[in-house]
Amino acid sequence: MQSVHSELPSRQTAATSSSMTNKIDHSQLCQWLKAVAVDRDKQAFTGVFKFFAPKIQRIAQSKLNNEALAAEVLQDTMSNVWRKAHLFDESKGAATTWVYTIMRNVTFDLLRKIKANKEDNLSDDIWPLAESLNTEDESFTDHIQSRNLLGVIETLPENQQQVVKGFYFMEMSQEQLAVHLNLPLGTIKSRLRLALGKLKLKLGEHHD
Amino acid sequence: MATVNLPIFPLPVFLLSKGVTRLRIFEKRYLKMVAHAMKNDGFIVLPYGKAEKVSDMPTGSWVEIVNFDQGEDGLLLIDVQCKCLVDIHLMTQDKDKLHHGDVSIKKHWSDSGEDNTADQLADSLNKAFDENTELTALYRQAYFSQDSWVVARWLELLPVNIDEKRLFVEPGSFGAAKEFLQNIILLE
Repeated sequence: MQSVHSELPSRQTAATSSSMTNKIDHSQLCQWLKAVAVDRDKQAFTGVFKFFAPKIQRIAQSKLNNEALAAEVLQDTMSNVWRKAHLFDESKGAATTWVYTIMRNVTFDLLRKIKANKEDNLSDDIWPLAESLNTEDESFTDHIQSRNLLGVIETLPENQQQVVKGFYFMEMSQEQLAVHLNLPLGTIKSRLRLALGKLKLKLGEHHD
Repeated sequence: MATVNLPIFPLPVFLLSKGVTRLRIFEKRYLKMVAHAMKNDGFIVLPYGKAEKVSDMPTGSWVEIVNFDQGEDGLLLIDVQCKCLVDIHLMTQDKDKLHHGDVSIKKHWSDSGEDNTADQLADSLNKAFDENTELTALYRQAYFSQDSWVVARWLELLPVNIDEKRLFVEPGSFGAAKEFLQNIILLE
């Protein structure tokens, strides 16, 4: 019956973290992480993501008190999970412990980074239009968030980039294009370079 | 020229007419923008890249929200489709730091492109859609027989800097765009 729902809020007080732990399907999480490590299994990663994302977002939000930063912690943590899944060792501890440790490190890194180069980054890196509009520093959080994320992604091997980028953009990676056209990656790279060169020559009259 | 005032969302996303993309919205001001856009006329995606040289009148993509959902991570997901390109004449910023702009519709080749070329570009794009369920899910309708649609989708998909992609917002760039794609995709 629907009436049960109305009682839920008052019951929440009884929900301690230990009672939640009982509900976690640890073997499923381990299995997913293994599939990510061994097969680069996107489906499994989605499973891991769906399980951890709301929790990480909530914890980060409560620690940092900033939605955008929390989202960045989430993205960085999950891209690390994707990248380092092979380092997870079931015998050394629970998957949850492993992921939350990554999250903790990501959070510290992020806070250090912000402290170290907040001013420099913003003044140098930000888009001129923003300056002309007299925007304040934090007004382009999305910008900066995306760029930082891109910075992280760019260090990943191309096939791994695709999965992470998929959360944001609908664009092929060079490697995907190579697979699609059944050509070596090197050929794709040089074709892109040559085609861009030709294009610029052609449009040169109209664009500096 | 008639102008409309619409909210602006700067993003590293390049979209031409009929292009669809999925966005994750988490910032408060953009959640507000989406709420507003659902009731009104959509918003403008303003593509930005690395080498920013802002022209006097930047071009943006006027998009409408065609689908939305809340991901299990609690973030709002929206699918937006570009209905046309616009020139942005004047930008202001409100108290929530959301940008707004007076925009007018920009003529583009997708409005006047010749149709009916079922060539290799279309075949190759069709194959990419078949292989990529995310793409197929985004596009409720595909127009592989329309030259301009095929060329536009390829430009959005290609791993090329957004600064370079933006050359193709010019009305006279269709021929160059097609040649550009052929140099990458079809060359033996």
